[in-house]
Amino acid sequence: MEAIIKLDQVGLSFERDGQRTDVLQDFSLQVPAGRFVAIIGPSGVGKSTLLRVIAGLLPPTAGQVTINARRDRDRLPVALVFQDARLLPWRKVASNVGFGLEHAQFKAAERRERVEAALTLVGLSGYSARYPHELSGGQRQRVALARALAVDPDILLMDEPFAALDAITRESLQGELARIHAATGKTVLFVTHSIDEAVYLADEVVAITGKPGRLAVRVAIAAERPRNRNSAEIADLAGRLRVELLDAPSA
Amino acid sequence: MLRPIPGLAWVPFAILWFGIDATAAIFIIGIGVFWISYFAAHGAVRAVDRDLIEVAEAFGFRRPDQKLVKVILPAAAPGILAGLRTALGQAWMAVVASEIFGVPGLGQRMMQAANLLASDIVVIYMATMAALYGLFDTGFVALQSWLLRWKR
Repeated sequence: MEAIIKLDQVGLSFERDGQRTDVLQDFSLQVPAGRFVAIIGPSGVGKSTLLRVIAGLLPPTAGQVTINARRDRDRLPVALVFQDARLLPWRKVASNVGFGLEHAQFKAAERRERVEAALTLVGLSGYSARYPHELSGGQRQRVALARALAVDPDILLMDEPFAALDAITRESLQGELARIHAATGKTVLFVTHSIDEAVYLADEVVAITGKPGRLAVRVAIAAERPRNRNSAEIADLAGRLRVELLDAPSA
Repeated sequence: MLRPIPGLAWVPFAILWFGIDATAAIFIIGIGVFWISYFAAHGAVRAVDRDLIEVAEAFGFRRPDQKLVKVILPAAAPGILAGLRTALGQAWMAVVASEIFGVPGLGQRMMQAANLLASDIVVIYMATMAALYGLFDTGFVALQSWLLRWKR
């Protein structure tokens, strides 16, 4: 099967005051459709930059990015969830979730339907008329997830979406995301700092190291789903992943 | 280049160009409020969170006009409206000042009363001006808080 995301020797550098900084170099990665890939690595190795390149927000300065998502009129190929929910504070929840559907091809009735479906999927169906400042951090992040799901993307790019949440909220959202991934079959690229989060959620963990960021190691997480984060199997996989990441080149 | 000139310093030219009538007053008000509104709006637009603009781009709104309507204007609205409120006060001052210089209106009548040493009538005109300004300002604040009802 052809990969839905294909990065071929992608490089990204920018110049400031005549000084060239390489953020990513020679980065190649293929992601098959439906796979949940966790991207892990220290701060500043270009993980967020990588997501922005895949989302088409930043053009790569070297190499090639190929996205084989469906280009139907009733969806966007890729959607992003940011670490801070980044809701538009002047819009109510429903209008934030419908934001990506405000293109001409989406009719108002369909937009309402999809907003309602996305809110139900993240467990916030009664919250349409709230403003973002009336929500908790976890609820805001659910709205951000619903906003991404509403455009029915083939690829969901998530940039440390749960990092700013408290431990309990984070675990409950991880569970929701695992359920949503199983239900929708979307391809997910999930940037995280947490090995436990990566092992609980992902089919595969990709570690990035160094400056400029390079792919250091890929580890498959072959545990059955749904997963139990307290099981010996998951704990064992997390332990083995820790060892692999420590042994990775220039980690 | 024209910015440092106080609005009221345009009065002689306004009278020269437009005569002593409402057009001159409108000209003075326009000059008085333009720079206040302009700089408030400019500052508010510059201060818009880049991250929110990136949200617009991430959801496919990449044309400048789309970013303007979807994110920049609503995000800058509080600053723009605060500037407009200041401008409203400035405009009121300009109205009274131009009337004192001869444009027909409350200010002109107040000056006539003052020339007749009728200080009780002067006080009534002053109170009327204050009350009218209070009315305008209250109305504006009501509009402002309705537009910004999304703020906590």
